[in-house]
Amino acid sequence: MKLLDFLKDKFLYIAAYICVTLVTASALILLNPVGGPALSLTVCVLYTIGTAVPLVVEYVVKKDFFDELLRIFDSLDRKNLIAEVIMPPSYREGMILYDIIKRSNKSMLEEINRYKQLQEEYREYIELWVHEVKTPISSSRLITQNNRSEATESISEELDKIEAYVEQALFYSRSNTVEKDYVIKETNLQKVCFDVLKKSSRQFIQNRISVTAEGLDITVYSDEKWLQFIISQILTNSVKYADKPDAFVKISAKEGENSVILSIADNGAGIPAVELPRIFEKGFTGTNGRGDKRSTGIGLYICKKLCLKLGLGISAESIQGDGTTINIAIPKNSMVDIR
Amino acid sequence: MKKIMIVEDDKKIREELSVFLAKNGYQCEAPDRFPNILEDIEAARPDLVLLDINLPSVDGYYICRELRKKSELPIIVVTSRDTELDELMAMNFGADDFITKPYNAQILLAHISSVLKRASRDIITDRLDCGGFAVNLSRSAIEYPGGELELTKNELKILTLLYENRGAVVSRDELMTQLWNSDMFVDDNTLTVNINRLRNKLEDAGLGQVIETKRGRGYMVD
Repeated sequence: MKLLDFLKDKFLYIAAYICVTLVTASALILLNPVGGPALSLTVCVLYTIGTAVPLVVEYVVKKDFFDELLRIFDSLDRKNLIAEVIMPPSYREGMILYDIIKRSNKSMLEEINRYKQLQEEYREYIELWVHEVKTPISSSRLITQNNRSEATESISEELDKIEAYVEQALFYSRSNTVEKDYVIKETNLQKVCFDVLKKSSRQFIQNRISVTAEGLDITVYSDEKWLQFIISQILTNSVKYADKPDAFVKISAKEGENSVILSIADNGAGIPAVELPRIFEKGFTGTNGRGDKRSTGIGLYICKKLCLKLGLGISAESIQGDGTTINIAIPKNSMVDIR
Repeated sequence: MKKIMIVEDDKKIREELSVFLAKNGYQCEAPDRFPNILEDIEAARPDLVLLDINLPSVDGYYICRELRKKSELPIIVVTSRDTELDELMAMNFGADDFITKPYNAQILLAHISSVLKRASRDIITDRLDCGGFAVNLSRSAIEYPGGELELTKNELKILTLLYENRGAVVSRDELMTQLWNSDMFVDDNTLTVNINRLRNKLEDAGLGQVIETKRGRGYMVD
């Protein structure tokens, strides 16, 4: 708080003081009392002291309070916590504001909690829904299996897609909450990749995409299910954007000192260099995704979010027309940085 | 014939699963009420229990634990909850295996046969009789009157698949899917190469043209 600003606020007070002093001084000079000009001067000085002392004291008190308040406020990570750390001021109008901040903060917290609860309920509902819908998908799968024909074969393919979308919804809702429903444990990278490949075998076989997997027999520390989901999203993209007759996907791993880099490379359409930095953004579809291939711009976004939560690194390299490589860095020891 | 008890509350799944498992040579029992499920299982004396965790009125984990208290009966837990925690829970309650819905029926079959194999520890049919010769599954070889012929992993898988579906056409996609299920991620060309090699081997052994090509549909053996 600057002194000048403070004085501006006290303009009326100071103006009144000047008027009263001037009137008193004039009166004393006109009446010319016994003391003469000395008395007039003394009275003026007393007036000035009587006015200035309370002003200075008030300025010092307020400056102390607000400087401290600003210092605390600036040092806070979450500014809305100010009401929790603020000290009650010693003067009346400050008390009123203090009270208002406290109460407004409380009501804001209640509001936030209401939304948190709504979101939590929604998440629970999505989880429940996903598990419920898996039962009819399961029975449909068995029905197609028991009644094999061209038609059911084609329905099976559609079931694959439904299942993939359902899975995506589940992981999307998981990626948004702080709840930790993952378990970090010793995991064999080969098993993780092979499980994904087996699960999604149909899309590779039907689209005539060859797969090579090498150097994957490495132990890493991560959540198997989440890792599987991330890998399956990337593989789905490779299949979706395959555009050459000899399309392939190559899965390989390289061991570093602290982490393993899992690379999933394809020779598909590739990503234009200007779009590459944005592919992990929510809703970003890019030139490839806007063509005849439908893209939601959600898959890689969820991958990135899940990677952040699991303490994995994810990055992409691509040459347009030549193919794309996605690299995932997975910790090799159990000291994982988890958010 | 091995007997499988299906504990599942969804009627459709129960029925279709029974049909599917029966087709694949298992005897099935699938109760539709669960208040006395423990007694029911005991009375049925199955070789394996396929247990859905989310049942009405009873908790699947409870059934799992109670069964384990009394016997070594193989249990495969089936659930639509798929987190690592669920899997750990199932294993902690004594399940032998864990599979999540919606499952690929072939993968379910593979899980069932491997759990049964582990449980009985005896060598079940590891020889497949193919008429003029036999496939020895454990040694990955063909035994025929004139001698023996080694097979590669892929060739063995292809031949067994064809003979398990004897008299029916097996499509190339189906063959590939099965190979993929056994960790062999072959592509179109590799499958063609494998089939040709297998044919040549069989021919060299004097067994003639065993594998018939059905144009546009797949392969068949008689």
